[in-house]
Amino acid sequence: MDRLLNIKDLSVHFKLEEGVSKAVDGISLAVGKKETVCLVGESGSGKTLTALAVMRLIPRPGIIAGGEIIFKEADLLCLSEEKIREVRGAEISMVFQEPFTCLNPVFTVGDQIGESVALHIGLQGQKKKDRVFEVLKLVGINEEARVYDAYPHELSGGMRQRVMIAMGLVSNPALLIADEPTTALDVTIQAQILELLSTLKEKLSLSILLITHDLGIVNEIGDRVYVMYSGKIMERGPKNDIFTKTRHPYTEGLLKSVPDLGPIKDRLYTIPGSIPEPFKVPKGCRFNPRCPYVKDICRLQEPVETKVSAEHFVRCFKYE
Amino acid sequence: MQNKNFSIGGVIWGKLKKNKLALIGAGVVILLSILALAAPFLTVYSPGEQDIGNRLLAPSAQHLCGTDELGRDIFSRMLYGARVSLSVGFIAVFISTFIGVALGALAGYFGGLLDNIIMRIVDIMLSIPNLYLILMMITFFGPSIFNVMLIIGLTSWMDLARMVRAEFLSLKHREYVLSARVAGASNSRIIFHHILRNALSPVFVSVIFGVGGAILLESGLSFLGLGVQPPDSSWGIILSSGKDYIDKAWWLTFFPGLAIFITVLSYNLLGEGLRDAVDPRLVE
Repeated sequence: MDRLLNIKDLSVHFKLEEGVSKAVDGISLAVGKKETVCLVGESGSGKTLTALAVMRLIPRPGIIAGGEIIFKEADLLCLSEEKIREVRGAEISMVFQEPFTCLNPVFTVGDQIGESVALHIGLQGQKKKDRVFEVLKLVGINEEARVYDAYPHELSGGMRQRVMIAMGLVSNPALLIADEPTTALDVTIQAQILELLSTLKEKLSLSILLITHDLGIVNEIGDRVYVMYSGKIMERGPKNDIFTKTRHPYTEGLLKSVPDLGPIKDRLYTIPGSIPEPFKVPKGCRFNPRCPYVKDICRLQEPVETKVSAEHFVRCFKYE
Repeated sequence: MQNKNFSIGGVIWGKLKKNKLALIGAGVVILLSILALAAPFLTVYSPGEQDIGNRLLAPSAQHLCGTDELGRDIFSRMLYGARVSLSVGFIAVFISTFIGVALGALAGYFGGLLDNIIMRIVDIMLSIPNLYLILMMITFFGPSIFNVMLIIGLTSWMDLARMVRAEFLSLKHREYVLSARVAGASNSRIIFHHILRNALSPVFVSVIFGVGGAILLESGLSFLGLGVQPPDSSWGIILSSGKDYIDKAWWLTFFPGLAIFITVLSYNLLGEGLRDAVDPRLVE
């Protein structure tokens, strides 16, 4: 498969007084052309940091401690600050969780969407406006003239998320990173935004890296899935394999904790315990304190990735 | 459904126009500026025109504010003096705002060593008594309108720098800053476009207060003979030369004093009104 983005052995470390926190601990992840890859995991598992590392925007005191991020044959980690700015917004765009706080309150929507094309393609004046109108229509906003002149607080949450996506797409990027794009929205709007993302992917030959904790979303638009826990990829594979041939106990737990429609039989399953503090990662397999199948070896040794099928891999002693 | 007046400026204006004192202040500020600009059309006598035969005349229809010891028309001198006083006020504040905003923004945005250096300079500047610092610099550079503007500007940017720094410290962590960065915006664009626009209201308020303060400072310096030099006139100079005749000709000191008082008061009223209008916590 043609790979657009290839992350190899990426580590993000935070040097804190308590010690070094390995928030992202040697993960590898690839996104192919026109593929939707989902990165799944609980809050605090390092998903957003992985995405920010791709943009080279790890907040201080974090550092990218190792690895490679190959995008279109270039290692993003080796680019100069100027070169990486040319990638941001133009080649790779990012859409965040909170459409309420991600738009600058003092500029109109048109100004904010237009900024990226002005910076990267140099469009000005009427041409810029035309392009913004075009992309607003593309994300399903029909009153583009009104929205263009509106301030963010004049729009609803769903509208704002569409505006954020428009901002991401206006310079025609090859890869869109969507960080929990629907978490702050209510369910009906969620469905619309997901629908929009799949249509856009087809129309624009876009690759999407979708970060989420919601397996319902993965099921709807994902092609391949990476399950991340405490900075490591625990299981990866095509969506159907992950859902039907689940291997890792953590993935299993995540799947069991999705509520079903229909009559309530039992209390909803929850994975016991919580994700470890990043500088107190347990010895051995980092999931062992919460794992229902824990064995002695899990507490001593870190499992390596084992092959389940051609594209399906798991990191667990159950299968070694 | 769309209300065009719902922009930030619209909201502030909406609150400001309910504040009668601030409106009066704004009115006087505008009126004074017009009077100063239109001085040649409003005066009969030129400000330097001496007429010893008519010296120390009390206010009358010919001389609205009387004449001074050289027979010069006080009204003319005051209108022309307003030009000097107001422009010293504005230009000094322009200089101090420029320095304060730039240094405060850099310190708040980049933090670390740069922040430390800038804030220590601020601490040092603030620990020297202001008047002493100004007098020292004027002695060094010599008194003139230009030097007064420059020196007032160079010695009054510190509070603004602190305030802008504090704004930047909190605003730089907003998510829209991250989303601007993700869109490929450079540091300078983020500082001077995305963040500064959100920090402008307090800057604006401080400019208005600053103009009043600078006018007062200029009058004080001119009164001491360290500001604008005769034959140029400013309110402080008229006041200063009138003090020798205070028992015989009250109008020499009364009118320039009144002008300073009203001007500074108006700027302060407007500034306070604006401060209340831009503060979201003060909703009536």
